[in-house]
Amino acid sequence: MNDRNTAALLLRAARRANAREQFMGSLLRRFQELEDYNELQIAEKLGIQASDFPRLALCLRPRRNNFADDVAAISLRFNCDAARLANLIRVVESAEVMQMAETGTSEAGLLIAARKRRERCEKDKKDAKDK
Amino acid sequence: MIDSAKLLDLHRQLLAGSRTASEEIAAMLLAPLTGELRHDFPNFDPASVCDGVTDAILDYSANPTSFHSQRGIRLDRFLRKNAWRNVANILRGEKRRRQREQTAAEMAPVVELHPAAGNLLQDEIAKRQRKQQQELDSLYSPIDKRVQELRQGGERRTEEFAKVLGISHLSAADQRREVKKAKDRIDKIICRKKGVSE
Repeated sequence: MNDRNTAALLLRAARRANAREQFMGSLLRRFQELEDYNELQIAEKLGIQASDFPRLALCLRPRRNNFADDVAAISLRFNCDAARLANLIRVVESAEVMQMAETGTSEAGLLIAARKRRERCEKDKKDAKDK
Repeated sequence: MIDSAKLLDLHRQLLAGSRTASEEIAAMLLAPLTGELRHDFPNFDPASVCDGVTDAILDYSANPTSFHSQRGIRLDRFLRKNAWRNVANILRGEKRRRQREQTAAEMAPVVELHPAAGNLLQDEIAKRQRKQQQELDSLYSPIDKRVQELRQGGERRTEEFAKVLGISHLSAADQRREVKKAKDRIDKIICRKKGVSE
């Protein structure tokens, strides 16, 4: 297989990665939808070669607990501006959080609800003891 | 040629949390594995083969602990096996879909040809053909017959009728007028004949 074939295969694979949350492709696709950008415009915004776009989509998404280092590693790999990449990811993540809050399926929301109930139970027990 | 040592190194990076190793593994293995599996599935859609390979690589990248290097199997062989299974599943799904479509196609005419209902479509066609033949039989002039045949075939362009009537040299407006006259005349003849036969 020649380079052209490999590029075509990578492009197809990247499109498939777009549907998987664990990959950068899903973030890039979501950003495209949010900002009405095409792939070329995003590549330009990030300062990467258009031919590197499918490869960026095939990278794993930065972890929340290691965000800065992960973004730095990805930006180093593609020689792009880490701040711009971080900004793009934050825009998408903020939109996701807002969407979750609207639909009421936020993980954080569920945790808060659970904590409140436990707190209330503990408070009730404490009140009973005091009496 | 796949560099096994480099691949193992990328696997270790992925296990250590690297975000970019998945991309390097895909770039390294996508083409050779797709090429190999296209040999295994020569009559199957190459795009689906590529999807099977892609899914194997993406599944592994999202969960690198699914591969155990200690078991003595190489990563590229492990991914090839998973990709083969994916392609076989896609193929099985395709076969099932085709079978369902075929069954549905075989079932459909049974309803239409049920003896109690009769074949409505064929009856309709036969009736129309009979009527068209009667119309043609009622015309004597071969030119009129040709004009009527064109009408029965759904022709609506004035130029085509003008050719048959031999008036192509006239202006468009004159052609339109003459074609209309001819059609009206034919309708009248058919109508009269119908009246006589009824």
